[in-house]
Amino acid sequence: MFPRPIQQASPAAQWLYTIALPVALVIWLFPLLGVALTSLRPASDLAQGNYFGMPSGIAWENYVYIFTETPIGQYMLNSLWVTIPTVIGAVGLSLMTGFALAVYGFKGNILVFFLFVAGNFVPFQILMVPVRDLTLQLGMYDTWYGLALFHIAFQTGFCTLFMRNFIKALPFELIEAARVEGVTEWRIFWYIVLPLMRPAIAALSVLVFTFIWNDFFWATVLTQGVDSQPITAGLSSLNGQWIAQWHLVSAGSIVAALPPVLMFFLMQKHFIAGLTLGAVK
Amino acid sequence: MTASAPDFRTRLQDWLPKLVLAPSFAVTILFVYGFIAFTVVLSFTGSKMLPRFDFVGFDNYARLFALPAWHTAIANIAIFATLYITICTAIGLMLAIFLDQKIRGEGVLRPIYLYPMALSFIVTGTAWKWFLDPGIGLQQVMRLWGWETFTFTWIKDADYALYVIVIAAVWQTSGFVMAMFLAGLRGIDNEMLKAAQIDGASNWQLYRRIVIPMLRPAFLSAFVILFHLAIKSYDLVIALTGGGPGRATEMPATFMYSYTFTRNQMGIGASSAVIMLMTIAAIMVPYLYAELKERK
Repeated sequence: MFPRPIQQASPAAQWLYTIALPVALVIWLFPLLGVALTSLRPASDLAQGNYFGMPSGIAWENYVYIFTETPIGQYMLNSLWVTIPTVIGAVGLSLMTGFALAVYGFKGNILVFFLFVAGNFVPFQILMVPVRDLTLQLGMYDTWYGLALFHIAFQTGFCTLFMRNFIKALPFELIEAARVEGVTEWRIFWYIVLPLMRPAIAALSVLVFTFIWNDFFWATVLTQGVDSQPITAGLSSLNGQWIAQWHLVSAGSIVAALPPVLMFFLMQKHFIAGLTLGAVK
Repeated sequence: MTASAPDFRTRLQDWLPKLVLAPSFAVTILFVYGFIAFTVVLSFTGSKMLPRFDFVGFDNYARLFALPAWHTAIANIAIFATLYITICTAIGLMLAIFLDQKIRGEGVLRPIYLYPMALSFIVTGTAWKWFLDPGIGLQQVMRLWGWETFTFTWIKDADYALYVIVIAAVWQTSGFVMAMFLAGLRGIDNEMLKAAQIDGASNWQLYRRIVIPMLRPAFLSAFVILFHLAIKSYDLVIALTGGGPGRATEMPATFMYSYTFTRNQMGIGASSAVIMLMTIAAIMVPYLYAELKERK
């Protein structure tokens, strides 16, 4: 049996194990749990220096405050407006490009694929000035669709890589057999390949959702005001206003983190499969 | 008419893959490669607040490398990238091997190590900023628990603030590296390991001589991914230290942003972006070339 079950290891190793695992767990969970606890602490506790002791009460009012007194709700909506079209657009486009690159061996196939994949690793800084200029000229600066459009453009490379590798791993005989039967190419795509792609679509959607939701760089470059800033950029500017009001900063962080973290825990299997399949990212 | 109809259909079928690819391909060529070319051109011009096209040769590069701030940024990214990649790989491998021991509760542990990947760097930055703030975080807890002299002020200390960014970045990504190694470990042929075990190899020897060498592809992709994440790191620095104290945690990415938009030195900003791109390309292009050639 390999690896040997831990029960057969030396006592010292077992000891190390029983200590190391909980310690690691605490380190991994502590920062976020700490923030979550602080977000529910009344402001008076913090003023008295009670950061880690028993809270004097559970202060839901921190959350009520950030939703009523700050535009955080609007920021969340803006994030959704950017994220959902990007997921649909990038996954839809890459299904087609991935299929084309995986199934047809035309001239230049590898070169096109290389260009898609390499584009993925480009530091965004080098695209920043022209992207900003173009959005300004097109009148799309500070709009959700300007941001979503460029997200789609920059995610296509990664998504294509992902889909192409997934389709490559499908049994090619299925497609061959259908061709012999005289099934047209787009029907092969629609009726044979697409149904098999469901897990890939799920995995990629989860991944792209978290990437875009968490994007900060393009959000600061392409948006400015409350009407269009997504939550990451919005939270960053709110943090600037809430100096030392850690109960508010924490509540804001939890709200911003909730959608992708929930998504992660609900779709965990897909998320992990996606990360390791798209490991070239 | 009837004879040409199937012809047209066959031709359409031949063209289908290219038609399908065309929009995405055009977008990538224009928005990625075209825009890279645009920035490269900008880096040779005297652009200040807005793009201008008066060519100044290598002036911007000469000025860039004469700037102490750029030297700080380069020194910082070198330290940051080295520590980040090494520690992430070490912790990721260790966690993967630990989780691979057929332990109970793997299903619970794995997502806990991995969930930081789903967080925004802004949130990670805030969480660690709070946790490491001397007045309220770790230091305060230790003192409350009776360790009166415990001091941990790295985040406020120009000499150590960079290491705080390393800690937060490692926390965020080592779960991901773990997942990659775990996938690699699960892919190793068990027969060979059993044979070695029957021959009396110890666990340590198994890992050193067989498992770790067989994980080479996982090491390579982990390195490539971490390397490009390190060069791109921007959000975390902004959220955690904002490049400070002073300029202690300035990185090429923050340097580029502030020179282009805050200081209106677009030419210099563009040249720093070109240097960043070239650094990544030096690692990426040979790697991708080798990968694609193999897979073909």
